[in-house]
Formats: sequence, structure tokens, C-alpha cells
Amino acid sequence: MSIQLNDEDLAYLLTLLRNATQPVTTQQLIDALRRHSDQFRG
Amino acid sequence: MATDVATELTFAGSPKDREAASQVFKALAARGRFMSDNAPIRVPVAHVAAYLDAQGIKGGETKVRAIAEDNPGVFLLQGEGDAMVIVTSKAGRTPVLAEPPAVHSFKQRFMTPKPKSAAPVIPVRERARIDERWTTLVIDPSLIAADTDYEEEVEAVAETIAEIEQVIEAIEPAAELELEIEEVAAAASPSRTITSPVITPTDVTGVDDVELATAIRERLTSDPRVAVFGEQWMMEDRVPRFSRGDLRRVREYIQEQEQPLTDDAIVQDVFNVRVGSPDFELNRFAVNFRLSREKDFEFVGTGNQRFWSTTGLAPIGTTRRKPNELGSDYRYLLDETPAHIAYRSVDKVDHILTFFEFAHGLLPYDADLQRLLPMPVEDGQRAAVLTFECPQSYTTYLVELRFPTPNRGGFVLGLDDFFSENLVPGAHVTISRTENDGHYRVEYIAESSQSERLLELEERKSRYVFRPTTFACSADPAMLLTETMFGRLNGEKPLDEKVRKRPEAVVAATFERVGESRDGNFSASFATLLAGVNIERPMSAHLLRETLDKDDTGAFSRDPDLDDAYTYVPGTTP
Repeated sequence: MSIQLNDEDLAYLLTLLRNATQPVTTQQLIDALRRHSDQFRG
Repeated sequence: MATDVATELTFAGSPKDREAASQVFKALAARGRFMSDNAPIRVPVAHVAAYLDAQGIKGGETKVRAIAEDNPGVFLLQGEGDAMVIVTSKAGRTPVLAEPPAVHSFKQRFMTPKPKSAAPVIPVRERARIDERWTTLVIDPSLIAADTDYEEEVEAVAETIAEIEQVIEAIEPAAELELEIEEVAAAASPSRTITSPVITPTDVTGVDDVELATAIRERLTSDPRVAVFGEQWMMEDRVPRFSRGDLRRVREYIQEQEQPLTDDAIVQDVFNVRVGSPDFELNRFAVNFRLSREKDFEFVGTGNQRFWSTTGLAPIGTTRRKPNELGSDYRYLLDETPAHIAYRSVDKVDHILTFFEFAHGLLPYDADLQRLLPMPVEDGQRAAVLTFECPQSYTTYLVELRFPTPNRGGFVLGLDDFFSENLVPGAHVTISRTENDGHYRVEYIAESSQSERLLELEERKSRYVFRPTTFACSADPAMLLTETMFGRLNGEKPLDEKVRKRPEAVVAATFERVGESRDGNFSASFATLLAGVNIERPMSAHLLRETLDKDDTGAFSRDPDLDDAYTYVPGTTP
């Protein structure tokens, strides 16, 4: 069963991209998503 | 002209008076000879009288007035006293002295401001209609009752507060009482809390990067606001756009250089953005993303080395066979390659060159090479241009990797020069990867120089010949096509295209060319057969073994007298 991102994840990723002035790599998005998940769970 | 009119005119009075009137008219007509026919010619009566006097006609001004009064159709008197003038026209008619209409003049037009135009009628703005469902909203009576109770409750609380305040005024305020007031006020607070459902971020703990990358790709790729190329992402509206002229300049520059160019080269040379400038990375992404949307450009790069090609470029590699024909030759690789392969999982690949590969300057994109080379960056990518550097000859070759399609195998083209300058069929080649997934090192084992008569295809006469060849590389003796081993090929013509398409027919023909004749049959070792069949068409050891072992016609069979050798019975060609 593969993981699926929800609307909150999508909104977070779009915010990241909107604030970026340079292209963002997939690895940077993965790292950001992990940090966001960790922050929410304390 | 005036004289003609004067002779035509008929004046009243005696002959002397008519002569005098004629003289007066001629004098006036002469005065207004440059005037239009009907323009009024004005001359003071005193001047006319002086003229008549000079002509010998006496009577002075009285005479002139009398002439005018006797001929009202020709003359007219205007003014009083000394200012009296006699008026006529060149046409001999009393001019009409009506004042010109003064309803319109340039002066008036220029001096009178244009009246302001009336303000346009503003159309009545249509009022937004409230959804009909609101008008038919049924309100639960219990809610109204609850609201009523609420109002009463508020009133009751307000009364309570008022009472408490009275008590506070009478008694010294106590902390406990204040607390009570606050509690009561809080209980009576009219604010309502609207709670929206909270969506928590997905827990990605324990999810590996590959799976997360797939999830990100699935979620963002379908979003039209997001631009993606390879492993880079941006908001689409932040990616610089290119005009038709910009795209034309890129196309023309690639055509001028006569080879595919990297995104770095395009950004620097066409758009004049320097490496290291803040906009370089952004422009490079823009080149890749925008060109990927244009049908005139084709991405032929890898993740690290992003080449772009366009229409009208000369193909890389051999022109002896078309890429589609080569793809069909290598179709067998589709069956020999595992479904899931780990790209770039090995550091180097060793390979022994066959005659077919040597002649066409190519390498098979088999399972070994797939484990070394990168996967396609884009879905449906047809080809990737790679650079193969040979440190032994200090030369870098631009080669093209043709990815497999559902019915054609893959191969690497463009090594003709490297092979012909350094190697022979049967040579050992090592291809090793670098940090850059588009750049590879290709090496051979250098040895002392040796000479052999080796097989060649004489293209002009289209036949095989043996020529003395000097080479200085290590080669597999079994794959080296020497005259001593493959001498019967001398003068042979290449097989017909229809025959060479069928592996079993090529194997049969190879037996006859290289096998030992024994009681009408042909026998040959597997290694010799492998070298021999690869003269005509590419064939792996696996495919050759399968062709020999799984032959239903009985044409091929193992030779029991020799180790790993096969026999062929002519006349039973599969």
C-alpha cells in the first residue's frame, strides 16, 4: 500500500514552491515534508 | 468684356443721357475688371462726376445721381452726402447687397467651446440574486426557542451583574466576588465558537525516500500550477517565458553547432546568462521546462547532462543501417532483459566487441549496459546523448543511446571512430561510469603491436575480404576473425536481408561458412559460431544457445565428439 499525500501536505508543498525563487529538487521537498510531519507530532 | 456688356446694355433717357450712362458703366467696369461678375463695384459719386467732367459731360454729381436713378436695373446709390457711392457689377446688374448669413463662421467655431456631451446613461446594475434555497430555508422552531431562552438568560445575567455591582458598591470589593462576576460574565458570553475540521499532515515516519518521491510526483504532476522537469520543481508562473524569437534563436544555434547542446550551453550562449549569476539556475530550469513543451525540440539528455536536439540535425553514428533496422536487429534484447533493472547500479562493464558492433560503431543496450547507464529522464524519451571519453587517446566521443521501445531493442551509437582507430573485432572494452550520469570512460587493454590478416567488409564490392591489420589492443582469440580460422569467408557476399532477419537461417549459413565438413554435415564449436553469426547480425550467446538447443527441425544438434560443439545437417534448414 503506497503512501498518499493529503490536502494539507499539498498545501504545504505549494507554499514551499510559492516562496522559492529557484527550482526546488525532489529531495528538498522530501526533507521539508519530513520536517513538517515531525513538527506537527512534536 | 466690359465694353461688350456696355454695348449690350440698354440705358434709359435721351441719347446724351444713354451715352453718359454708358461712360459711367465703362468707368465702373474698368475699376472692377478683376472682380467676379456679380461682385459689387463701388465708386464714390464725386469720383464718377470728375471722370464725366473730364470726358466733357457736364452736370457733376447731380448728373451721376440722375443716371443712377434713371437706370435702377444697372446702378444703385448707397450712402449720403460726400460718402455717397454708385454701385454696379461687371455683369451690368444691380448687385444684391444682402448681408451674408452669419449663422456660421470660422471665428465663431474657433472661439465658441464645444458643448459638453451629455453623460451616458448608466445601465442599471443587476442585483445579485440570493439563492432561492435561502428563501425557502426552514428554521427549526426549537432553535428559535433556544434563542429566546438565550435572550432571557442574558437579561437575567445582566440583572444579576447589576445586583452584584450594587453589593460591590455597598461592601468593599473582595477578590472572590470579582472572580464570581467574571465567571458569571464568562458563562453569559454571547460569542460562539466555530470549529473547522483539522487536517493533520501525513505521518511520513518510516516511509522511504523513493516512496515519498513517488507520492510527491503523483500529487504535484497533475497540478497545472506546478512546473516540473526531471527532479526539479517550481511554480509555473515563476518560470521565465520565452518568445517565438527566443525559441527560434535556440533552434538556429543548435543547428549552427550541428550537434545537440546542453542546457548550460543554451543559457550561456543564447541567453547570455553567466554561470554563477543568481538567475543562472532559474534560466536553466526555464530552458528545460519550456523547451519540453515545444514540438520542435527534443530532450536527449540525462539528469546531469541535459542535451537538447532539434529538427534538421545530422544523425549521430552509422548511416549504414537505419536506427529502426538496428532496433529490430536487437529485438532479442527485450526478452533477455529483466523487467525491473537497477539503473546505474554497477561501476563498470566489460565487453568483447563483435564484428557487427565494430562495423557499425555501436554497443548493445543489454542488461549489463542498462545497469551502468542512466534511465530515461522523461516519460517516452527516445534517446539520450552521452559523452564517452577515452583517456588513452585523449578523445571524447558524442554517442547516442537509443532506449528500447516495446518492439525494438536499445543500443549505443556513434563509436565508429573510436573502434576503427584503436580496436579490432574481438577487442576487450571496459566502460566505466563517472559522477556525471551522462559522461562515461571507455578504455581498452593496450598491448604490444601485432599484425594479423583480419576480416573486413569491402563496401564498394559488397563482399568480405581479409586484409593485414596492425593493432595494439587485447582481443579474445575466439572472437578475432583471422584468415586462418574464418578463411572461407573470403570473397563471400553478405547474406540477403530476408535471411539475416531469421537467427536460425544465419546460424545455418554460418555453419557452412566456418564449420568443419564431416560426412556432408558441418561441425563447429560454440565460440566459433558466436563469432561467425555476429558477422551478419547481432546475436547474444544466450540467443545462439537457444537457437541451437531448441531447434525443432533437427538441423542443429550437439556434437558428442567435441566439447561444446554443434553439428548442422544441410538440407534441413529451419
